[in-house]
Amino acid sequence: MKVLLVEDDAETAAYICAGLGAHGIDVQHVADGTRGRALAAVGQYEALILDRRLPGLDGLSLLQGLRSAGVRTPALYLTAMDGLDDRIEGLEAGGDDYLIKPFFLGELHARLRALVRRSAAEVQTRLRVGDIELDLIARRAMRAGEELPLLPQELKLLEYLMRNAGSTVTRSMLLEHVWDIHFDPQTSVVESHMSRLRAKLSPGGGREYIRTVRGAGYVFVIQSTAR
Amino acid sequence: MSFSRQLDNEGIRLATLLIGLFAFSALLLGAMAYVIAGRAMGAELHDFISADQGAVLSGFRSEGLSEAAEVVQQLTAVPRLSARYLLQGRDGRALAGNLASMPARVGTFEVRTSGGHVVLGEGDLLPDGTYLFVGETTDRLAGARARILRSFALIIGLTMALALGAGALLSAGYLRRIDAIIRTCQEVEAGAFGERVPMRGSQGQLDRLSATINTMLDRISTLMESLRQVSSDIAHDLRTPLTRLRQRLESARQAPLSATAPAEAIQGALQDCDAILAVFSALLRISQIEAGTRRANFTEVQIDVLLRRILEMYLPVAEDGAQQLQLHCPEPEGGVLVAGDRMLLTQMFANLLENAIRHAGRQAQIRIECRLVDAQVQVQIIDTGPGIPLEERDKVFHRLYRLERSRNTPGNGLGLALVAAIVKLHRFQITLSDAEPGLCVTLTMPRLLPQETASLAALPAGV
Repeated sequence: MKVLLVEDDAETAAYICAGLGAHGIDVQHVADGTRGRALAAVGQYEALILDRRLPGLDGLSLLQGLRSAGVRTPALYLTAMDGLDDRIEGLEAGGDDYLIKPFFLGELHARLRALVRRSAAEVQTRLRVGDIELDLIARRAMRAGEELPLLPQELKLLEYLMRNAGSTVTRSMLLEHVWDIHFDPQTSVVESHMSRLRAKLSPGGGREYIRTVRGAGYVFVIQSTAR
Repeated sequence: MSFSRQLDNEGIRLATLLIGLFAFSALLLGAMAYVIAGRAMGAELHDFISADQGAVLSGFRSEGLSEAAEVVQQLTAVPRLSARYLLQGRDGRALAGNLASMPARVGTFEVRTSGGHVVLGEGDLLPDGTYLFVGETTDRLAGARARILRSFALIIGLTMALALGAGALLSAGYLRRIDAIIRTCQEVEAGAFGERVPMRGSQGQLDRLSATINTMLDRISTLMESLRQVSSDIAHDLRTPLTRLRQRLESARQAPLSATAPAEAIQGALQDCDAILAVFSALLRISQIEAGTRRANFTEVQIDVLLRRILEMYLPVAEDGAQQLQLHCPEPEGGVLVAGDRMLLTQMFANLLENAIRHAGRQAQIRIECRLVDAQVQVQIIDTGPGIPLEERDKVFHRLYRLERSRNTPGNGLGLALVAAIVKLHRFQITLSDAEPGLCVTLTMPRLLPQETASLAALPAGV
């Protein structure tokens, strides 16, 4: 995977390049907005990581320019601007995700993977991973053809995990996509729902469908590799 | 107040314009009076001439020239200084009257007498060719005209003086008040944030301007205060965890290293960092909400839907603590609507519910009750936990305040402060009361009826 990083802070850039590089991602880095815009317009990138405050051209204008020029490369803002409206502003300017600095590398990696996967996925009405099947129209989940008694929020949780099967999704990604929550709850909302979903997916406790990645998040295990 | 400034100012400019206008209208009035008075006197003269001519003519008709001369004699004898008569024979000899003989000219004209008076009158011929002139000296008319001109000159002069005086006085008053506004603004600029523009209590434009400026200054003070509060909160409350972080790293450096010590120290340091960052962003968010700029983002929020969503979200959490969580909510057609910021309202209810879940203890019962009371929506969150002592109920909404017994449960003491900020932004009301046992949080929100949603755009901006 090849991504473009537009970030003016050298230390942050080095941290990201090294960190994502370790996951096999090829990160090309530029420090100013104008060059970033030029490269993003011609380069073959799978994703863009943009700071908002940049010399030359700010991240918001950069992306607006790209989008109006028809460049659809998924873009993630990585910024310290965490005002109440900043996020909405960023998404309205054509951004696909918004991550606040300071951040964990694992979080950035997980979001980047989800972003690239989302942009590649065609419209689906049915998800299938191993023996779990999810009918997105009828809102029903089946294991080996047998319907699972899932509550609406558990279905949404399962859907998000299955769409990103094989990749780690973080707690904050789940809060945003499943519950539309943009703050950090002080109780174990994600954990409680996760344990119920797990119990319903494998009542006997046998097979592990959702694995906890310590300090990072959760991953829906793709069976062929798990077994 | 310098002269050039006087000239510069709007008041004087306006007064000058008014003076010009006054003078022009007085002039017009004067001219009209002049002309009208002239005409009236002319008509009067004509009447008097016709009457006298008639008298002479009728004397002539009844008894001949001698009687006409007699009539002229009588008329002349009347002590009317300004009247002039001449009855002149065909031979050009004066027969009667108080004018010297002159060429027998017919019609209206002026003649100059030997005494230097100008006489305006009419000459005519009697049937036998005798010439009759009846007229009046113009002194009276000229005098009247001169008087009219004099009085109007006086009036114009007075008007101008008055307008000039009033204009100067008025503009001096305005200038003084504008100077007061400028002075206040300069003082505020120089750091005296308590200064306000003095008000007169009238409903005039200047008072309204002063009131607007004062409101703006109040707003600035609020923002400054909020900024000051945040800075001091950050200074106080980030110092403690930062100190702890430093101590942890320091002791990790000094401690005889076991195999796991560095990893543990790093893990602990990361947790400290997270806690510090959480406090930091919560403080920033509170101050952002308190700045009050978000009222522009208000939309209609369906409280019943929002509460149900939050209930579903927290049900498993409560079950894990062996707690019972229930929601009672009416479902009127069109939903239970309030005007607000959906994201903030979600966070407000989440914080209140989390507060109950975290502090009410295991086995507690937590009820969310939504009611429609008149034009209000009332939401109560009632738990069977230990509650909050009466004397501490106000303090829990303050930033970073934590009850003594809660010091050891996780949390940064900002949850309820955030709730208070959101409540204030929305102009809701929140009260804490004793649920005997437990805590009852009552939120009162103005209800938005479905047909009112169109007027939502007209909600006042700002706080």
